[in-house]
Amino acid sequence: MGSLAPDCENSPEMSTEKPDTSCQAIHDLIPAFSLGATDPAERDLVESHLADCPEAANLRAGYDSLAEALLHSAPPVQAPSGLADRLRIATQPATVAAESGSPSAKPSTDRGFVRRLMNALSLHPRRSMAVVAALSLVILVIANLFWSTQLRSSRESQRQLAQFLDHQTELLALIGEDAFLRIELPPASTDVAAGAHATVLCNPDREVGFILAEGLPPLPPEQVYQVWLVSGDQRVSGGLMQPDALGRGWLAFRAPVPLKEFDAVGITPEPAGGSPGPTSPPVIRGPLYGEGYEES
Amino acid sequence: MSRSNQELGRSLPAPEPSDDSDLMELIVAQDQEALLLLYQRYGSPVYSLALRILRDPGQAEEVTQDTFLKVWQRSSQWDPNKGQLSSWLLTIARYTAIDRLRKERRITTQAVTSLEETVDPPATQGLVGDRLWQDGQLLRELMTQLPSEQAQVIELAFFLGLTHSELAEHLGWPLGTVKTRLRLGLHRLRTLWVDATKR
Repeated sequence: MGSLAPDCENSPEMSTEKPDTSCQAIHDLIPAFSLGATDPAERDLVESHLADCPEAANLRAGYDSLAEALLHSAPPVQAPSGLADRLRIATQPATVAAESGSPSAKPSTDRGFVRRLMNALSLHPRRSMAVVAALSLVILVIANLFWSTQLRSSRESQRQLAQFLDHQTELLALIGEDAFLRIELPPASTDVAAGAHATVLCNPDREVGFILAEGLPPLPPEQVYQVWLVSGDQRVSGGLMQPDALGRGWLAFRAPVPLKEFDAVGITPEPAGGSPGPTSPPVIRGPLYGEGYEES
Repeated sequence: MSRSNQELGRSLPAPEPSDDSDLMELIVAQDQEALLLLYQRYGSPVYSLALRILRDPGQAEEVTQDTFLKVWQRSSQWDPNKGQLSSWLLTIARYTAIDRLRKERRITTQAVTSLEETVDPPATQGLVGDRLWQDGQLLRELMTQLPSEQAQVIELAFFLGLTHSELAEHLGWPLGTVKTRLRLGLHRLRTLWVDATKR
């Protein structure tokens, strides 16, 4: 469209000659262009014309100012009071390392029980060797049963770990590329879980990500947390998350498409085993930068 | 917060940044208090715009939160040479809200049925001296002086992010009629605005 520039010098606003309709037609598009209302082909036409036509650039500047003022034209309404608290929670620095290193944050151990047992035995020093042997036998049987159960459970865990390691390998590669984003997710509502929040590590161009949640309210045994990837009215399960005693849970997830295709991430309590779609309100929800965000 | 502020912050209260550029420098350094101060300054305009677009207080609240989190995560992208911080924030809010509308396919004429709104007086605190805010509120008044078809097409284009062809389909008007009404409406609005600000 650079060839249009000379014609614009003879536009009707600068000359009495017959107007150049091509140039005028493009100038007529500029108000809509500033508002973002031109269709793609029109937008391309205006953009290439602007580079060569100072008059068009001046016209555009005037309408850009109008569009900027329109941003401020909404009737003023007070923002909800709870939003500041949610922003504070969503942007607070990660405290995982500090908490895990803090003795006060550690869950209570069974040392008290062991000590009480030792004390009980010491209160009866003259018990016969037979009693001690019988007790040892019982302990051995119980231990055997326990380890058998653990072995079965370990095989399933091993399978899940292998699957997770596949994800983790991709995540490590991702982090190694230094191309990942760290996205903080706030609580969905101060009423339900004011202290709940999460951090997502992901590369929007990849399908894998990692989510670490903290402050999750405890759930009854028949429930589990489920991570959802949100795109418009679609919800794709990212997997299940079982928080620890401190309300912390983590999950390496894989999406069917690159994560930039999704708008948000949410975490909801669901029946054990998960649900095909969310069945309860989210405790954590936040944007994941889907399409539509335009840099200014 | 800058390193010096971090070091001194516990013993000396850091001065509140009066300038938006100073505030954004702190936010780039991931100073949480600076972000909350930004929200204190611009939370209401952002929420007001989101509510104007979405017409749903719950969704407007979510979009407002999303907007400030985007600023938190992409604060280094703001260039003070390219415009006011408030306009950058509101542009993010506008696209975020419009994107939400499009995803939910919730665009209806309901969004433009009324130009009369209820103003919430506490929300204007701190804004009355802001030139851009004054211009915006003036424009809202001037819109009422336009022919209703021109005002309607401007509102749909700006607040719902519809293009010429989308407007034609949405309104059932010929494409040429849409283009003419939008162009004439914006020309008229700009003329009224320039005249009003000269006085």
